[in-house]
Amino acid sequence: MTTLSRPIVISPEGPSLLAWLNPVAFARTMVGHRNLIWQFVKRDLRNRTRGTHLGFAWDILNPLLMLVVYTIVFSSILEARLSGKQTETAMEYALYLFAGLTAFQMFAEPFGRSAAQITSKRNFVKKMAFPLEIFAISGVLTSTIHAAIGFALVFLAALLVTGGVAWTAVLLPLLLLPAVFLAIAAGWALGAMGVYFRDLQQFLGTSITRLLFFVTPIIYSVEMVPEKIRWILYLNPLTVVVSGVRSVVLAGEQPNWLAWGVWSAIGLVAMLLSYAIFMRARRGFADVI
Amino acid sequence: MSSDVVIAHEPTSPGQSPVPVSMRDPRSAAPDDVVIDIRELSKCYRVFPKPSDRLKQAVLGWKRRYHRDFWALRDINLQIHRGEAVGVIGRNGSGKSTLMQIIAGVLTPTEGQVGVRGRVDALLELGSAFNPEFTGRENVFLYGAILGLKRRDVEARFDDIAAFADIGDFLDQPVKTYSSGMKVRLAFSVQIQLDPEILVIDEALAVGDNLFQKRCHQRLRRLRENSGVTLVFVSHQQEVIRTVTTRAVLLHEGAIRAVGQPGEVVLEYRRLLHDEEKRSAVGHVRQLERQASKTRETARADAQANGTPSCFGDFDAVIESVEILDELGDPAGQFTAGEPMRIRIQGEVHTPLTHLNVAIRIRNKEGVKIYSWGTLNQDIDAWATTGPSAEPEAFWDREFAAGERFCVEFACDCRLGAGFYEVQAMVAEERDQYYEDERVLHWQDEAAFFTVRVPKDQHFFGGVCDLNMRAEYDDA
Repeated sequence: MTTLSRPIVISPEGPSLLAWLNPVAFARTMVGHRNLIWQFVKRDLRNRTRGTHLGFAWDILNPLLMLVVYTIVFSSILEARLSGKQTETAMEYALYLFAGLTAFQMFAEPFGRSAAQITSKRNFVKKMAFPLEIFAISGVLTSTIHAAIGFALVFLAALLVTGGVAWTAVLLPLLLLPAVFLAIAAGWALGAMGVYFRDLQQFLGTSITRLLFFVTPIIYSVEMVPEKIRWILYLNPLTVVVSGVRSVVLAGEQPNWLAWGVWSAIGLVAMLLSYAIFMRARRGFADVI
Repeated sequence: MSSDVVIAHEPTSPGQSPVPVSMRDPRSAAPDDVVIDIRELSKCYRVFPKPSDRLKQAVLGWKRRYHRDFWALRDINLQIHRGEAVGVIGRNGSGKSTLMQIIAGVLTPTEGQVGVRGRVDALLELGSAFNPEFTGRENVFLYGAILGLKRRDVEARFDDIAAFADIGDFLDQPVKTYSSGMKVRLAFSVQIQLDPEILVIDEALAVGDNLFQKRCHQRLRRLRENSGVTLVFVSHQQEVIRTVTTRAVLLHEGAIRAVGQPGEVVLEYRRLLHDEEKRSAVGHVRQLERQASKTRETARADAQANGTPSCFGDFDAVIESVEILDELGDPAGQFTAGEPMRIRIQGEVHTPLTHLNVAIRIRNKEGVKIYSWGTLNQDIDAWATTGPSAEPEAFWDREFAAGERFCVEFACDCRLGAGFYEVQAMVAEERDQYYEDERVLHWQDEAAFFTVRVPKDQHFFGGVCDLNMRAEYDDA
């Protein structure tokens, strides 16, 4: 039996928004919940293929099949090219597309579900004192693992097609950082908003995610966009991530580090801020859900 | 009332504990031993008439209020000491679950505060964290993690958990194949292996079978006596409150009505239930009387304001009274099987109307419609023999002027089985002669009640109605 500690006081006021904006406390809670976060990542990963005969193999098969489909479509049906690169083969284009898509999905998947993240976990809100903040983290970790499998396939395919992978590919995890920060931030901010405005769920997963897909250079390259409106692309953090990923993995070039740095910083601040908003807003969740 | 129980008809003043000194555990003389300290706790829910009002409140809340306040808890003061087992009883909606949720840290109080020393493990709903797709074994580890246990801790206790849950091979089956009782068993087994400090249980154990409940209560008692675990739980089983708890709290309409020795508090609870029952019967009569004096406009406004399903219609005609009478025309509430009874409906027509149908419906306690009959049914009978509208006496053909009154009496021999019956009354304007198209002018649920007794010594029968059977047999 532990000795009686100082009481925890449950009161109407609770810590203020500013009190939650403490990076040290933030890091400490996240580390403290690492076991729980990992459990939920495992649960998410397994949940998807639970009950199937192939199990985990689907997590590899699915992206592999997607890559095959793209290659067939673009080599024999569409013969699409990224402009200005006449030497490029259809297989290379398929790889370009797939690498970009993998990076995009890593963000879009948790982003699309963010508004429903808390409302869909009714029991965790109403039936126990649960650290709801971990769902944003575990969701993004799950999609990052899926992305890792996708990128492993990209490396493999690149080895087969071009005979080698540029050394710059080691920069990949670093490049994904802004997308990870922003996806977690969206998980908290939109997750909290989604509790009070359920309407958010309706268009976030569909219209907004699809719009995001088209304003990100995935099926096209940044160079294909008229220079006059190219700046619009750079308002989208995923532009930096997606084109950066292609540069380091497929082209062996350095990404735009300045843009990357700016978006990483914005992502970090957004993450801390939305964490504070979430922790403040969650006090009312059980009243509404 | 024994001196062990404090009945708090008035809210206790701040800081003044309603706990009588004699109930305190001698070990817990020090104030430090208070593990749950509830002070002036209130919880208010905002009730929005429409979902869109919630948005309006959020956007325009500074301008005006779009919600009604509902105080689920009002000014609760309660100190719970280490090692106590406190049972909370009260009717549905008395605030029990809200109180549990606040102690568990799920809900935020509106006013006041709760101080909690030690880790609270709340079983607000056992097994609610289980993932139905995973096996029991996998869920045990997940649940352990949720409750803050490391994997190896769960591994070390796994055999104990499995033994207590006692669900056999189901442990390796997905939880979706479990019965609710099995889910509770597994969840509870994990929970008690955790060295809990404060256990908050909200009616969770009621799902398990009797043997399992008994084992749970034994285990809880051991935990409390040997490890100083504090228990707070809600139960509707008065027997459980009496035998398992050391102190009971009676909540009524969000306030503490009584606190003290469990047996006494349970008694107070039963007294309360009895009073409420009596009051609700009287209430119906009053409601009826009130209804009788209402004009069309006020009846309509009232029905709309309350939104009660018990009364609706256009109120172009209103039912003012529904009486149940005996043979002699005197009001009666109780009949023996076979006795004549009459149901008299009186009302007023507000606009000129014809083709009226005044009808009743009888439902039993379980809400099953036993019988319905109306003036239209009688008219249909008449038309069947003489052809439509040939009978000048048909109620259907009567023309009512504004302000004209009607009085319809339904007479029968009471052939119902023993029980409690509700009478619903209706007046409607019929647009055809077959109940196909009607406009309800006034529908009144629970318009009157009566009970039927079936004496054991004369014409005794079972069931909801008397079919008046005759047994025939060969002469021996």
